[in-house]
Amino acid sequence: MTDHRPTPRPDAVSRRQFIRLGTLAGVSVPVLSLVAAACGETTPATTVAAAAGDGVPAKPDKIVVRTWGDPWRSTYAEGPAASFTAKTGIPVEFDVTGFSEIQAKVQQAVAAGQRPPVDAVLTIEERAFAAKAQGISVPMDLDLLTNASQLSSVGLPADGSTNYVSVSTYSQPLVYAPDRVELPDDLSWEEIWDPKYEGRLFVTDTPSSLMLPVAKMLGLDVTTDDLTPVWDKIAELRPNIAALGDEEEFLSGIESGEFDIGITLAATALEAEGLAWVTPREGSTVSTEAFWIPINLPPETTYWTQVFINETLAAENQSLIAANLGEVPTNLEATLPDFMKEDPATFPFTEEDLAKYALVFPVEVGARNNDAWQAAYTAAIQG
Amino acid sequence: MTVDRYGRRSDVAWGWRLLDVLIALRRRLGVDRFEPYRPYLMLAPALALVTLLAGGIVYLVYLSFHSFDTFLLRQGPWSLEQYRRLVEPPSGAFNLQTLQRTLVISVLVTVGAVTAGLPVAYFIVRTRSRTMRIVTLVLLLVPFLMGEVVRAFGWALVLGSNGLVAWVLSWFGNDSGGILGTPLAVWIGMMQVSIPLATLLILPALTRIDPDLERAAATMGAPPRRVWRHVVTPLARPGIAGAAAVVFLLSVAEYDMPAILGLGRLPFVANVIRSIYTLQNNLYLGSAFSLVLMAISTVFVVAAVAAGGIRRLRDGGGDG
Amino acid sequence: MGASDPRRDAAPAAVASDRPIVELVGAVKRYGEVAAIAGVDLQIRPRELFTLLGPSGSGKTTILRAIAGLVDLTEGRILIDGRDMADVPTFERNIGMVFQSLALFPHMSVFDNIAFPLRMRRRGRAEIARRVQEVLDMVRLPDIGRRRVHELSGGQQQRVALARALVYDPKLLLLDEPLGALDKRLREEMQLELVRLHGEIDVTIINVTHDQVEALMLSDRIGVMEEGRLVQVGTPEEIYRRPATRFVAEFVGRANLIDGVGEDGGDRCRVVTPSGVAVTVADLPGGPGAEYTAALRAELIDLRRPDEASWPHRLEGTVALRVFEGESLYYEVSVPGLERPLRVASRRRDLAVGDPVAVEWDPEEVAVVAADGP
Repeated sequence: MTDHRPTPRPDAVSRRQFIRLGTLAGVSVPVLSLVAAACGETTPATTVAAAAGDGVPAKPDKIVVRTWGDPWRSTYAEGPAASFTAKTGIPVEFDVTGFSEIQAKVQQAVAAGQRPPVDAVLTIEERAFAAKAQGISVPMDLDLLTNASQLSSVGLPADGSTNYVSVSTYSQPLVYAPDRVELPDDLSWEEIWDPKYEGRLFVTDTPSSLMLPVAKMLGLDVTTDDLTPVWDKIAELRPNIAALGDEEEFLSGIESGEFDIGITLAATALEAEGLAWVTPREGSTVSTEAFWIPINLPPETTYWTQVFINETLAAENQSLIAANLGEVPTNLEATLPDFMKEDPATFPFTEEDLAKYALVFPVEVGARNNDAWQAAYTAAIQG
Repeated sequence: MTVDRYGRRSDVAWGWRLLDVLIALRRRLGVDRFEPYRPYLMLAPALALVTLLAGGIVYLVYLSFHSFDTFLLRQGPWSLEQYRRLVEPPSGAFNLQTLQRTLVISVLVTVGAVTAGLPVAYFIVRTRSRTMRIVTLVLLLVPFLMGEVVRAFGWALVLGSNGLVAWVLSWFGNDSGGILGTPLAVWIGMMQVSIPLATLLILPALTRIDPDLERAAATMGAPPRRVWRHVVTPLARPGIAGAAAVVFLLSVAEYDMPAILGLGRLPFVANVIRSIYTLQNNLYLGSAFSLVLMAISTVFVVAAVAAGGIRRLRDGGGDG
Repeated sequence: MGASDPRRDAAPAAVASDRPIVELVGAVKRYGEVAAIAGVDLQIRPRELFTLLGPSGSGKTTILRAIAGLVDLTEGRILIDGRDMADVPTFERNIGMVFQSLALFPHMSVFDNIAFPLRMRRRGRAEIARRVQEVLDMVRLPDIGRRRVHELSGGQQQRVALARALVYDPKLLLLDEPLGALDKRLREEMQLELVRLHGEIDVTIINVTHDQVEALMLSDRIGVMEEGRLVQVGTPEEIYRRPATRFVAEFVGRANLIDGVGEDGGDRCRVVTPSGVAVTVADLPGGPGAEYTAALRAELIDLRRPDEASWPHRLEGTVALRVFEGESLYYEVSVPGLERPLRVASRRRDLAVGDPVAVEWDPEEVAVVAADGP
């Protein structure tokens, strides 16, 4: 079940499996930090922005970018990597190491004073934020990220830093089998607590999908308030829950009829026939995928990697990401596929839609409280 | 091919010459000097493994008694924080419940596997038919040919909403849609390997029982039921205790069956530990839970082995 | 309890002693193509000590197990006390049996081993204690009840096994070569013990052995088995002196078998080998002209120097081998015209290898078996 092989394989290592990939990395990270602690302070902060001033640095042989496997890898290869190579002549290689593992490997390299194994990391925003806190990412130069000016409010970090940049967003609405259950068009999240859904519901094994909608229902702010009522409310959902797990488990379970409704990624609904989705009126959790650049890279690599990341933010490449991955681009100039245009609640794109529908995951509080929130959620949902 | 002067075919002779060379080499190297140490050398891999395991446990103990910042991934000072978190809200009640579920289902699996495995093992040992013996043994090994996950998904198909069990239940007017996601499903899934495992572990103990003992008991007036109770079972007791210990330990550490057949709603301790490791990123808390589980299952197993292996048969006049 | 109460089966045992306690009628047991018992009719009389004697694989143990109900017959019937045992399982037959392996329960003390059959019969605690002590006294092991089985010597284990088989007063005791594993001295001691016990208690014993000395020594009657068949049944003396077949003659005792044609030699009959060696015998059961085997028992012939010869029934030869055996000496004597030297057990000590000797016998002591069997 756990798979963290670094070699690419056709359908490998999607974000859908990301949690499954974490085991070894989760084990090794603390070990490394122990090593790091034992060796004393090891954060040789590299300033890269300096390179921009004195003209264009030499070109590296290649840059190496970590993504998930297909469709991510193929989409990034077809779009930004192709246009980047066309413009600069620098080839782009992809690495599909698991996202927890790559974070551990970069830490390991940094702790040992070595060059990290990849030049750019595509991961979930929470991890990109953690990389900054862990001191393993460099701040990027907005002069090189020329496309950043076209990004929506979720594009650059909320804390004003430039240590990562988000390329796309995904939401977690209700996905259901319309032949087995009818959901009203205008509904509240409260709907799924209805006893008529007893034993018919799937939920994720991570808290973000439910806690934000529940906090909104209860009028609480997850960044400041005591969340006990949120966990209590989630615990009340238990009789309705048939199963919990990740996207794979959602797909197999809803196809075999173990449950009729689930909370999962909107893109998951696109993967199976005959599924419908709806975002209740409180909105659904929106998270982002982001790039960050490790420290300890040669300055020219850091420079050209930023040029590549800028390419991923270009409107035409962002349109491709939207069409291929079912994720909402962060560049407001990008073109959306029709199914996204038709459902702004599930695929909030404009600032207006984002403000209206998106429950944007508060990445800093979320990353800092992940351990506590996960523990509370697990106890509430599985207890 | 030629024949040498001793009448050996040359191809055979070459084999002997090779042996001669090897023997000479062995002398030259003085391998025999190590002869007295050979028993110890042969133990080396096992010792290395045990040391490694012990080292791992010591490391887990070390981790479990430290605080840890899961955001910055930094270890803090010596602390009872992890153990406190295990028992305090919000996780305490949930962890206890998980532990109970793990132990109860594991005990039920152990009892079921030994109860079912003993007669099967007895059949294998006592059947006159060589064919039946081989067929039974092969059937026992079949579950081991599949990966645990494959078996779990197989059972998920059988026990699920569109599966055989749901179909049979619907005959009796029960349209609840299978038993996937229930403790029974997890138990059934775990029994599939536990029964063959228990059988194979009991087998050697039964093989050592002289069949004359059973014949003798019969001549002395013991019907088969009482031969079984007073002769076979007590003599198989060390094997039963060993099988029970192994099945129990493996059950307590079970991960896939509760995850897949419990639909994520009936976690065992291993599932929670995995969730702590990967979703909470907290190896330190996970270590603490692992050690608690290890301590509790050790107590269980020591108790079972003591009860099963050492206790003498109290062969009272009554018959239970 | 009903039919399963073994005590009920014991009731008719007191009837007239002429009815056999065990009867095998046309008993056949086949394992695939092999017949372990190839048609046996046998009657065991009450109170006798009957020995089934034969080499290993001759079917004697199978017969014993069939009587105990541990083996089902392919054909034929077994009756115990006149009752057909076909539908009576072992545990209801009320038979005592001592196995070759003894089959003492290793997980029980001596006391619990011996108490086992009584507990199976749901006897009271006090009665069990009393009976166990009685049988332990009977086998002369009064103080070992608390010991574990593996703490006992081989001889003690034998006695415990015997005590366990006798503690519930079975009318029938089956012994499956229980003495086979003992050394010679202990075996003889146990044999005498068996004879003593048999005299003391009211029990019919069927003993199985391949040891002809044991069979001759213990038995009231002996049945000799060969390849699944019972070739002769008789008293030890009959078996010894009047073997019914060449096989019996060879198997029981140390015999010199001489094959030849029967001749009527005037006042004495003779068996004459093709090489012309003539053995005088008392009688030719099938008349002259037939093929016979004369069995000259090593113990029943004697050696003389040629000049001391006192008897006309003799063969002359030279001493080829002389072995000291304790109470007697064992000689082999080469006789011209005989393929194998004659084996003689004699008290004479003054003969050396190479000495010319005469081997003498009383024709009455020579067993004559027709070559094609009885």
